[in-house]
Amino acid sequence: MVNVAESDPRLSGVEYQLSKVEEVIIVVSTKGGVGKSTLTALLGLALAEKGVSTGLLDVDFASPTLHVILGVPARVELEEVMGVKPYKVIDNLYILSPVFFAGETSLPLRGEEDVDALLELFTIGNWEGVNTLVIDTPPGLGDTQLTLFKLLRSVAADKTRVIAVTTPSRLSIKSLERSLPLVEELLHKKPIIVVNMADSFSPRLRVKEYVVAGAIRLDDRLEEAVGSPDKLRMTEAYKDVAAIVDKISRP
Amino acid sequence: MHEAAIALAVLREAEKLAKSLAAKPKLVEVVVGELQNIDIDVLSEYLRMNLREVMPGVEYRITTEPPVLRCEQCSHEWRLDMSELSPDAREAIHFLPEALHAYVRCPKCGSRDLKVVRGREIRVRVYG
Repeated sequence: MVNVAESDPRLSGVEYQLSKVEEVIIVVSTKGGVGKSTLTALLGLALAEKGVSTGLLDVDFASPTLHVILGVPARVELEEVMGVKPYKVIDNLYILSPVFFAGETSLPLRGEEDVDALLELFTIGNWEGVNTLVIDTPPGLGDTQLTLFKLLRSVAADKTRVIAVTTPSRLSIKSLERSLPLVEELLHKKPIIVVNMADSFSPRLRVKEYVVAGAIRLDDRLEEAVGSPDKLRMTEAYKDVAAIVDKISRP
Repeated sequence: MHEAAIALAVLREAEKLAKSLAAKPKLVEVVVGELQNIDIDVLSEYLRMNLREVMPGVEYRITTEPPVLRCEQCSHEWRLDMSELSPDAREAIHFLPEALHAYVRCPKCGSRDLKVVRGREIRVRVYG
């Protein structure tokens, strides 16, 4: 009798690549435009400043912008070592983005292809030497997020944390409140809440029983700082994110 | 996906699969979609060097699968000739096959809304 077993080797590849990092933080929100990418970039800068070697991974295939915030061009030379090494932004900060492969072109990906692209990016990303990997996700709770949660739960459950972003808008908070139990159920982790574009009431905001780790002030200077890590670190928003990093950092 | 990383993933996956077989493993087959644009000789060399350590006495075989695309707008289906793409496009698709949407259009209607019917993935089969 012929005995045959078949599978996709990428899962083993992902497991291997993620075994190199100590911690994974996913930044999520069901609403678009709440500042996930900005928060991810500032988290990266704040962690790097603290001396934590940090990798940033953009899995928003329809609209990757993390590289724009950090002033990284779409076309960069990547070193091929057991996959590809991410691009160095500044000391202690590295980035891998789909734009490094597709350029500044929107990719018309349907659900299954979104999942394939996600798996592929995780399989090729060699995070050797990186301590904390921060993942910027597209808005929503669709194929990308569901696959990501499943993947992290199966290969990096102990080291994964999730940050859910909202603005003080009642619509955004409603959307967040609705999504949190599902995120928690899928990831088996309690999301940490961050309020972006905050007003003076935001620090006292309550989102059900979830912990609000901090609020990031609405900062006019942020827009002109886009594209420059140095200028980003001068903003009030950065200071707020650095305080959040201190608060949520593991001892 | 880089050849060394693929070889490593294939070996790890083959080991797992072998454990699920009722019989002793005899052959590892790697099916490689040509869209991955992998250097088969390099992959073969990695497998030749490492398989005997991981699974002594087990042979391996690499099978390639040509890429077939379908346009989701006009339903035209065709076989993609990778050699017609620029070296930059081939390199990008090698790492991220979905990047093909940035470089390939339907030859009939020009759409980039395409589906890869065959020839994208890598699969590992272990025969007992």
